[in-house]
Amino acid sequence: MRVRRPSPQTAAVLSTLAAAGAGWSHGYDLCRVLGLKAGTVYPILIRLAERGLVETSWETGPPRGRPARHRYRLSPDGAELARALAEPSPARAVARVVPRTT
Amino acid sequence: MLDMWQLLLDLATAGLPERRRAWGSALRAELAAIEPRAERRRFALGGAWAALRSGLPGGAWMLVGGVALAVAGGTFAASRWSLAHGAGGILGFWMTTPSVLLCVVALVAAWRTRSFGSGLRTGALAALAALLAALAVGVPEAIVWADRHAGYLSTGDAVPPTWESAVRDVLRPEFLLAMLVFWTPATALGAGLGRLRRSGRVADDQGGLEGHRAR
Repeated sequence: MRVRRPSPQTAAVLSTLAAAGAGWSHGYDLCRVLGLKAGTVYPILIRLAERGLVETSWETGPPRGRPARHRYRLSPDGAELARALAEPSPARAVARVVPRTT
Repeated sequence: MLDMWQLLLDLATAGLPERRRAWGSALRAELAAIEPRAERRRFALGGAWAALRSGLPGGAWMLVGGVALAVAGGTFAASRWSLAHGAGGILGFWMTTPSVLLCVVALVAAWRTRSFGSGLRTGALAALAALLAALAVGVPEAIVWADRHAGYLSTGDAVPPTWESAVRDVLRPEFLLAMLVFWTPATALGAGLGRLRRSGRVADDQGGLEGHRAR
């Protein structure tokens, strides 16, 4: 089976979410931290969420006059993939965790 | 006061397919939490681009590619025909033919999905592709026109002093913006007409990023 490493941007998103641990992150904060545009970060978040690597939830109790924001954090599978990507021999490690991704 | 960036994102995320709808809400809510104007602009443009790509119905890229090819081929044919017949510039072609194509493309996309938003997003992407196609052919053709002392490619009403001047005429920002603005009503009309379909099977309302599917 062909193994594809995640794109550098996807790996960066995974790494940033991994650094946040169990805490939730907002999309705009990810854009700022990574220096990426929303047009890059959101399709990655969508893809990761659809593959079960990222969990999403809506903020509870947003300030008056502002809609609730969407929040993101790694799922256990996502955390495992992020750890695998951080290993010295990532190709083999990624292959163990996920057979095919971008 | 009209919030242009919120409006842009609202339009781009309108009528997203069911499985993408929450992401449209997420983008809008995130923009509402951003205050610096430059950051709002940056986020809204990026978010609109993400929504454009995420909310495309199946087969949209084929339609977009078809429009680009048709506009490129049409631009070349119109240019050479006008040169051969001394018929002036091809501004008329650029204003009318892409409008018709974009109307049809938006109609087809909206008709298949029964979604105005899908039609509009497909039409918007096709408009960008049409613009790029017009420029890709228009720039070298403008040089040909300048070389033959036939006038500016757009209007044919004067001979440009240099080929650089001929190219700059095609690349004027206000000219490019005017084309996009001129094409917009036809695109919206097509999406609106396509949305009139009320019964029958939805071809592919699940949208999905073509690129994501491919991966």
